Amino acid sequence: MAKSVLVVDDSKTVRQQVSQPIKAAGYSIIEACDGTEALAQLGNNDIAMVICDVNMPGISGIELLETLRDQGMHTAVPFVMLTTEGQTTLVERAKKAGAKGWIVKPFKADLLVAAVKKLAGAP
Amino acid sequence: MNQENTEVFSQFLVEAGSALFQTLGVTLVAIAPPCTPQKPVGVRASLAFDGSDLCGVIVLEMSAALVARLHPDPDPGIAELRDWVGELNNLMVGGLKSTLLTRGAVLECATPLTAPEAPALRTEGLRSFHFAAENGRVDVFFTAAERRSLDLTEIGEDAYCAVPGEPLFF
Repeated sequence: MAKSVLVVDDSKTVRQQVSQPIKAAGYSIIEACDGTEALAQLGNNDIAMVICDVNMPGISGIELLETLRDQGMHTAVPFVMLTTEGQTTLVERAKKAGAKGWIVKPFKADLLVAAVKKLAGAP
Repeated sequence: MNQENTEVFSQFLVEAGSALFQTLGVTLVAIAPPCTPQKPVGVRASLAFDGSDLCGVIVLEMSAALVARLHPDPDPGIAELRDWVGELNNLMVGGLKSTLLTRGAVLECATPLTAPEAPALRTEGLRSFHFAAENGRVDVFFTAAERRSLDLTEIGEDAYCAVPGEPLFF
């Protein structure tokens, strides 16, 4: 069974854009529109990796990571932040919270897939 | 915002928009603003920003056909078009944010807002830029004010550390 990648973004179009090349690379996709749904999906599925927006309604992507870290939940699941933000302080905050990578939008499909392969392993 | 900062902000916004659309394969051609208020061009998204440095709003309005052409779905509905123009505005402002960081200014943005119906935009107090693109239109409106004294003409300490599209691994 293919490994599952969780894509978290409040934009359905972005989730679709991100999912397409990753599905084409052989992975299965699970979607979440915000941090709350992401928590539920992490609890209900075997997730190999998370690609997560930062600025979302409700809790931000970094706050989601910090919550998981503080509660010791899903700490082995690699998170890559996919966002328009590039500010050093935010990147450092995500790194401190346990993120494994950061990609500034717009993403490049081949580099995104390479990042998934690197962090989640082969599909 | 003083005149110099306004001009620099405008320039950065136009550059960010042009760069974004270029990556999408669309060339923007600057056109004169309409003489009289028009009916909505198509689909519109507003993105407000507020923080310790700057506050304001940036509005992106585009022809629906152009938004549809750029959408990953072959046949997007109106909800998908509104979502996508919101993300395009987000991406454009993302480019602006990166450039402003090099001038020591941080743009703290909300999530984009899109309207189910788009009445004519009240443009009083907004600066605007208008472009022709693929038989359609791209219009950008904005207002911005400083929360503290800024000099956007001066390159400050570069707080930007990530190149768009290229993953940083930790």
